[in-house]
Amino acid sequence: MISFTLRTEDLTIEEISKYYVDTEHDRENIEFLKSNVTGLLIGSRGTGKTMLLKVAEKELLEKFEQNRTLPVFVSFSSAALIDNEEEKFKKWMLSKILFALQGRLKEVGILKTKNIFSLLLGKESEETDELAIKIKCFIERLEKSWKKDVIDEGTSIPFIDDIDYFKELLHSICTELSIKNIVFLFDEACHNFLPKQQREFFTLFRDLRDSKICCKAAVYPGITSYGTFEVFHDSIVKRVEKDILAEDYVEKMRDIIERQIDNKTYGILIQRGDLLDSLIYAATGNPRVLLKSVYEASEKLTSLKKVNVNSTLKDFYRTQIWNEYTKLGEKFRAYKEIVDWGRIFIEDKVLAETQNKNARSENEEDYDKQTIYFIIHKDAPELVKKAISILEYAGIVVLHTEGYKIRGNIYNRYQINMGIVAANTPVSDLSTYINKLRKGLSIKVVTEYGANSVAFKDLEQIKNNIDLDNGGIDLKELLNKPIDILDIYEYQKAEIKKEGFCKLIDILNASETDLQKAHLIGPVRARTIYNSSMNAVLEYIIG
Amino acid sequence: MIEELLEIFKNKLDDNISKSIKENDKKISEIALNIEVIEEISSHIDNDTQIILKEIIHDLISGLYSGLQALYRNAYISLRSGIELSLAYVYFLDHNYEYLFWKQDKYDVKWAVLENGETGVLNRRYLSLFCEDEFEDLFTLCRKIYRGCSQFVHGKYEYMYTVKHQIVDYNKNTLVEFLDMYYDLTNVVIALLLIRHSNSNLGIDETYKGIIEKNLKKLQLISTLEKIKEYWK
Repeated sequence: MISFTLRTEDLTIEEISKYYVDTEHDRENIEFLKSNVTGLLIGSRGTGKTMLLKVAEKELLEKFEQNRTLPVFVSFSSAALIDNEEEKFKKWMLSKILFALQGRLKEVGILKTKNIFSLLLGKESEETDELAIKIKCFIERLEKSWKKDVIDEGTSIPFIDDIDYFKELLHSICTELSIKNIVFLFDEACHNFLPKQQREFFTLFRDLRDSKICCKAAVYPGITSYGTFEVFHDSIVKRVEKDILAEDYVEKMRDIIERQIDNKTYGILIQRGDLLDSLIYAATGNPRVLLKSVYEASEKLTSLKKVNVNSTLKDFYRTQIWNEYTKLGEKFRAYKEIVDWGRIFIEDKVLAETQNKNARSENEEDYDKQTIYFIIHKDAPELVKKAISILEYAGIVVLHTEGYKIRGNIYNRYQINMGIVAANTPVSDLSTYINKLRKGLSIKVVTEYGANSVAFKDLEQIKNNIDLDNGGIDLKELLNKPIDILDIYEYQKAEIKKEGFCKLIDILNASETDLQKAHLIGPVRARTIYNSSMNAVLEYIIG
Repeated sequence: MIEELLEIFKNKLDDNISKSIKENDKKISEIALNIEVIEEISSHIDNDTQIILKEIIHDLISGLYSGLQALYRNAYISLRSGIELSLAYVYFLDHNYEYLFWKQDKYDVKWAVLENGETGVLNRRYLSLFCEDEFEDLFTLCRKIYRGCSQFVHGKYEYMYTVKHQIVDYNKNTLVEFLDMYYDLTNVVIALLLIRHSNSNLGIDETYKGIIEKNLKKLQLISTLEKIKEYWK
């Protein structure tokens, strides 16, 4: 039976070459991944992050003999149960990175010694063997440390105790083996990490950077905690999403399908090219969503009929995607209400208004233009931003333009999944509707949500309901921390302290109006202070 | 006289090894890594039949050594023993009765028994007890390796090296062909061990996870890989 492979993880290196479709945007991202700069690749689920990392890895390996840039794929898959007492989590990460590097060096055939430590300590000896065993045991002990009867008695291993020593080892390896630089590729870097661990990871990510070491991480939008790692200062950020307005969008997405199936099956699909294109637009640049919906709509790749395409579009984008989204409320329990609010906001507010705009009559302005865009003021409440970022994670909305200026105000422009926009209309012929939607699409037609939009008014209630205890001891500690940790001006700290807001919990228990009682604190500053506090706490709950 | 001949022969073999390594460094590194993986897996297996695993590793190393010396027929003989013993290892794990006799030299391992699609090891129903893959690529490769090695082992005229080359000399194409088969065999051994022991956490070293993943994907053993990866979490 013919089917699609939906996850790059399941592909062999040969299949990756066969299935990868090179677009201008993807090529830019691959060149960025291969470069010697620290950076993040951000994209929601199914947008092709792993594919890009794998292609970059493959291309670097193919040219390794000439360029001497070594790619090393690192996967952290068992982190959730390790705490960071005595920096154990950091040491565990460094150990994992070392072993991944050792594996890659052996794979490319340039490590002729039994282990990498011999390169720093001299010839192969029992000492280097012992060191390797010690680190391996350390990893095993840590990974089992959640079991009550296994206690880690503490291990002192220079290469993983001290980051400078670690870097020194890597430099020695580069020198000994004539490697120009090492590019570490972290796929779904933080997927298995707790927010606190994510922050540890990004601190390490930043600290590892040097002339011979470069790190790249693929992360989801919205749910990642960066801690003191400043995304836009400490790294270059690239987005993965494919642009549905690009001239070759349909051609490239069709190519993705074609490469996975035989000519006969593809022939069946393109017999009704208009129907196929409606599925392609509905997927809004997400290859995994496209392959899944094409598979369903074509009755397992056997035919493509309008009636099936329409029912798939309806079921997929009205039910399935939203069901998946709602499940996130169970995954991130502390955020359940924000997840639910996000859905209500999109369905009841944004989609309703989008539909009004798209259904304008001929005597109205912009009647011939269609939209799937909305904008949110940069000073919107932190909870709104968080809700939007969870929607981004689920692929329901995508950040289209950051810092979009209208009438002197700065907004972020978001793009709603086109399938969702279509499925929300009462139209029964969704495939025709989607093609019409795309034809008239204009990024200038947007629905606007200001900093204090009435659409956000339910948030006050949600704020009170957030389960602040869900983060455990760390959270309590955090709530009792002095407001000095906040990223606000010193005079602001002094003024609000005078009003009794000394700890984070004091601010969060208050309202923005309460904060305005402080001297020199007006509505805008109150919002900044409140957002700063809330963000610090939210990072601990979910990231 | 014989001493002199042996000395010449030895020098020739040493020369062959140098040439073989120099010209096939990359492939030999891949093979060496796979042998390390087999050693790593074996080190975590503790059962009565483990002695067979040691013998397999011995066959692999001696086969490689012979191949590099350009003693290609000897090399293929070791390889054939390697594939037979690999299947025998799995077979004996679930046929203790036969194993006990085999240890006493009262039972002969027959390829026909091992590869039997109904009762042997190359049997989807049997391997599905451990992992839910199709195993087609694995079975095809096992049979291809055995058939390929047998041509040399039985000394078929066309496969006699001296018929083609007259002397024991390094030949690039012959060695490449041998190393490719050797590499396939190491992949098969890794796959068989991982399938049969997929119910236990083998505590695989981080160093080898990437290469294991690559090898299993090559044989389309995706369910096996998924199952093993569960232990890595």
